[in-house]
Amino acid sequence: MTTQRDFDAFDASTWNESERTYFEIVNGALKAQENLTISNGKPQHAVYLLRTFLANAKRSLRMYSGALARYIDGGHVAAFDNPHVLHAAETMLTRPNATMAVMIEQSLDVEEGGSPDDHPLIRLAKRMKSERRLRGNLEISQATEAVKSALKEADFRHHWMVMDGSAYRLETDPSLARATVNFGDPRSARALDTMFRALWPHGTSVVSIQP
Amino acid sequence: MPPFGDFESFLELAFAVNLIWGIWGDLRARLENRFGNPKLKTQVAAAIDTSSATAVDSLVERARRWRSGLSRVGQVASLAVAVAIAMCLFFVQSTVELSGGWRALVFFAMCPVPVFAFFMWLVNPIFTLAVWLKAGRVTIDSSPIDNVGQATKDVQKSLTEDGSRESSDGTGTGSSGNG
Repeated sequence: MTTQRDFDAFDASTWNESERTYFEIVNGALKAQENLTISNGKPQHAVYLLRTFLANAKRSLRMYSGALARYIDGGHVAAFDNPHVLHAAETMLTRPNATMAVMIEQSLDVEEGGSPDDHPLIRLAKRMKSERRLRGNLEISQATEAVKSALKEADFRHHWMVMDGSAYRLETDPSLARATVNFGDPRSARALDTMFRALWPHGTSVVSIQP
Repeated sequence: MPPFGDFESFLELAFAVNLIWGIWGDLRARLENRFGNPKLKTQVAAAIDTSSATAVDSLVERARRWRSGLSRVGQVASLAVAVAIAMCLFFVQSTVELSGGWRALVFFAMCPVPVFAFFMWLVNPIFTLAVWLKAGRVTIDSSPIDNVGQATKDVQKSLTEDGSRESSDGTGTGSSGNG
């Protein structure tokens, strides 16, 4: 398994001029908290954003996800099994009281026959706890049928994540791998945050790791 | 006498103006990157994110090279033109006495700024147009984020009704976490 296809989002030497332009726009928008709707569907771009959100979340990262996929794009691009993503998650989980709350629609993406503890993110959090380095919280919950049908009835079949209630990434069309990210639209971010908090009590806990 | 005194003084001025213009050009490029047109940035990012890398890459790369190349050509050309005009004028001025209007015209012609500005005025819209033509075809569907408020209300209503039903028939699911 490899993390690269055409280019590696975490290795600037593999970027061409377009990718350099793209990452300049993303990093500039993050730095300025610019209200800019940036397309973020390409798998490498999505993983780069995941790392960016994890590395920059000061208080919270709330995510409504499919299965916390270890690999995306047919296994060509590492997501939660990417060392850069895990390093960013480690950074976030060392922040006191920072909370990463995830609600998943499907079962956790682990090796066949594996348990949730085999997921790279959970393994990381448990290792940090055993080493007494865990300062933040990791909460993973499974969406119940009630949650799924409520979203279906509301015709809101998207995955999203919200960082500190101020920045968001929303998958607008998963079938076409379309998503947008915005670092400077707190109103929309709060709306997605509200949606997540409305769903959260109706999930069933998969794992809860606290310091 | 040339309008700026002696020939050396004119050259110094020509170089100084060109230098200032170059610095301003660089500063402007940085400002454009920092406070650039958000819609254009959105479109460019979308074009890069949704298109095949090579298709957009060739456009962006060529446009950038072309632009920076022409900037350099423009700078050199403006300086060369300024020096050439200055040399011509030096000889003209030394033999012909010009009236006020002609003198003003000569003053304008000798300044390298209009020459360089002409290049930039020509290049910038073409560059922008090229990016727009390519990136403008990409549309971003903003409806999901526009509808999230209403969707949240619908979800809350649905879950509340569902919770009421479950409470009444005693099949409530457990809740977890603190979100």
